[in-house]
Amino acid sequence: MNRPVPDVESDDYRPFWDAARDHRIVIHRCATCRTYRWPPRPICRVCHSLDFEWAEVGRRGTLHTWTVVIHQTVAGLPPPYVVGLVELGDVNRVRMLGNVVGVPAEHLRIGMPMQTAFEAVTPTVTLINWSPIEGD
Amino acid sequence: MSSGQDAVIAGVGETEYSKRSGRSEQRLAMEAILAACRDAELDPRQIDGFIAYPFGLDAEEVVSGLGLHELRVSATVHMGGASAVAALAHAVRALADGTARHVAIVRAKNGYSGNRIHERPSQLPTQRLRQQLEEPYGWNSAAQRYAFICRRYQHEYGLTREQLGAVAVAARRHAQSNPRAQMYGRELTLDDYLAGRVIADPYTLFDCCLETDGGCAIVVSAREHAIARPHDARVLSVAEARPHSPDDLTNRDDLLEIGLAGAAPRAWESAGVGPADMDAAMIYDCFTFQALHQLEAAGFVALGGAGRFVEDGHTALGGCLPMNTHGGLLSEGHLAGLNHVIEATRQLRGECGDRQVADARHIAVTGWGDLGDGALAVLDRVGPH
Repeated sequence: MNRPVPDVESDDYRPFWDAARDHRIVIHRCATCRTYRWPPRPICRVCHSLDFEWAEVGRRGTLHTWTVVIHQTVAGLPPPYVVGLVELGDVNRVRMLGNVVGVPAEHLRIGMPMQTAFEAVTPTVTLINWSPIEGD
Repeated sequence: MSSGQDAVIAGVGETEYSKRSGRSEQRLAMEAILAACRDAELDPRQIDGFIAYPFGLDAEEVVSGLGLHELRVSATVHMGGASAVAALAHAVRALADGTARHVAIVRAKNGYSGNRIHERPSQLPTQRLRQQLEEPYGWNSAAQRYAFICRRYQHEYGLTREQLGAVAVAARRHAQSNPRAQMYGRELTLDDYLAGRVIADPYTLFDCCLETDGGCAIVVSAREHAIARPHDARVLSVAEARPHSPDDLTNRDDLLEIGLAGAAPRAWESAGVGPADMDAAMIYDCFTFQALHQLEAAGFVALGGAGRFVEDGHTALGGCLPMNTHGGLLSEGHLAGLNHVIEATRQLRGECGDRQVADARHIAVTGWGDLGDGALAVLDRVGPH
């Protein structure tokens, strides 16, 4: 069985997955008060504006927390693998979930600098994974 | 509330808890309701309120199955594992305003032989978000999600494997005095705990609650319409709350901010008693750390102190705050926390035999669910009316 993939044609998420295919990250930014938000929401929780734009953000951040999955729960995704939460570096308090790759789990530390490691899992779907920034 | 409108937990009952019930969840639910009604000495047709759990038996099935005379109140509480405790508030209101006299709450599931927790489709809100941003990365189980919170806590406050293990070992020890518990007769040592296989690090096998087949039910009644017992369990107060982004853990401002921290002060204020007045606590222990986290959020222990508190034995029978004397979700069974309400009721009635907390007068019950929704109920012991 194949691993689950996102519906990249879904209206709410298409710009996000299109950008990922180009190795970029775009997220919601309120068109009125400019607050960034993720995941997508229909409204800004700060000013209640319904208007938003997709804004590109940087591809670096720090590891906020993670888990090492050993017991399989998703068909097509055999463990072990690491799921991490990365807090983006250039916008306030926006975090992205992804797999952490290219590093032994025992080396992971909260606060560790991370960068994107895009992974094309099908011709149309590129996932956003993360790996440590070398030298840090 | 005037005493004439007091709500008491007039009936409690359950099926056996096992890994293979051999019958449907609907059947288990009916057995549990009948057992609770027997305990309450109530004709089941007198039930006139029903608070449902999402994905469980619904009000229509109850009316049809039991041939109810008149169901006057029904609602479904969507707070995951916090629903059982939050449901008490709906029951209390329906009784207090006179709409209903006997409100039933039931949990029944084939949690092992049927849809196992880690295999079933997510029941969390905002499914689209899960399918788009979580499942593709293999993040779809409660253990994986709550492991994120546990690790943050370890980072901010420090928490040892032995302290997590103390929660699991204490729950298992309590279950040895509860023949109904799935883990009755099966001791667990700290060494056993430490040797448990990893599920989703830092969680290992014995950090995770059981998966259970079974059903349990309660009937909450207006005190004036309930049978008189020497000691009854009264619902003093209930409060519920949610964290800031209740449907999303990843972008919650603070992963350690949970609903219970908002609910607890309201429940204590309304009850007129505080954490120090509690003779026992039934804490929603879906995972070891979540129990510790809630001990702090409810105000029993200062932030960062729960691991030490449990490790030092304060939550064992005989300690200052016996916790989950039935064994909890970790060792009695996963009945979504309604079994915690039942244990609190029996403790206040003095029916708990070897695991009885001496002279228990006040007991707190917490619920946790759906990524951090929380509820707290304060129950107290009342004499014959």
